[in-house]
Amino acid sequence: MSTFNAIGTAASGVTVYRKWLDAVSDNIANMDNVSKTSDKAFQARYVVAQEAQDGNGAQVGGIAYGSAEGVLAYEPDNPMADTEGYVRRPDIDLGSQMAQLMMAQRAYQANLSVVDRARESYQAAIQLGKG
Amino acid sequence: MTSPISALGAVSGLSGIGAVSGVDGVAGAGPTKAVTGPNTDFAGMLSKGLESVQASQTKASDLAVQVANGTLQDPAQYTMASTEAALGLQLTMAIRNKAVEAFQEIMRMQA
Repeated sequence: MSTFNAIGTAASGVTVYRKWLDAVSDNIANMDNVSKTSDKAFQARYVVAQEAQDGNGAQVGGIAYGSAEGVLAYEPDNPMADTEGYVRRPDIDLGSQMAQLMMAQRAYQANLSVVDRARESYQAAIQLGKG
Repeated sequence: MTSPISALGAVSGLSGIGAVSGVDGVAGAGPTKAVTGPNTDFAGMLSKGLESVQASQTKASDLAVQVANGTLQDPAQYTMASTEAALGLQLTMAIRNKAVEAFQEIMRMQA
């Protein structure tokens, strides 16, 4: 990977942002889950991005989880409701998730355009050798 | 998809160009090993380069298999690997053409 380093580095960024996109889509998919007050709420997933071990690019260091408490909602008609009429919903804000979705998407695209520019540059260098 | 390209491994026969270093003897200029550095052996460098090209070709074709399987997680992984493999191949061809050109230039000196 040492010959075309920029491509490998950008590829690691693409992978990190792909995982962020996966985490956000997981959160949005489970946004309206309802659980009993005696159970845990769905915990939002947050990707922990960090510098890669070998110093080339980024990597996902792990996944952090949001609150298991969630928020209590008063829904006496819900079959999951406890005797007082409460259910547990995940503490996920759709607005925040959509903003994260946009950031992840744009950063994913930015890394891919780095790959494209790097390819153009390397190709120009190789073209120089062909003459 | 990229598997026919692996026939390029045959290019490693190119390392025979190392025989050109026999020209040292012709010049009678004594040992030219005064050139010190980690990469003084051209043939060695070339074969190391070919190995890494081969590795990137293998990676790209493994990912192509994953595309066919439907087990690929991210399409960008494949496109980036194949870009890298294609660049490696282009660089190999550029170097090979230069090397062959140099060899032919030397052969023409005999005429």
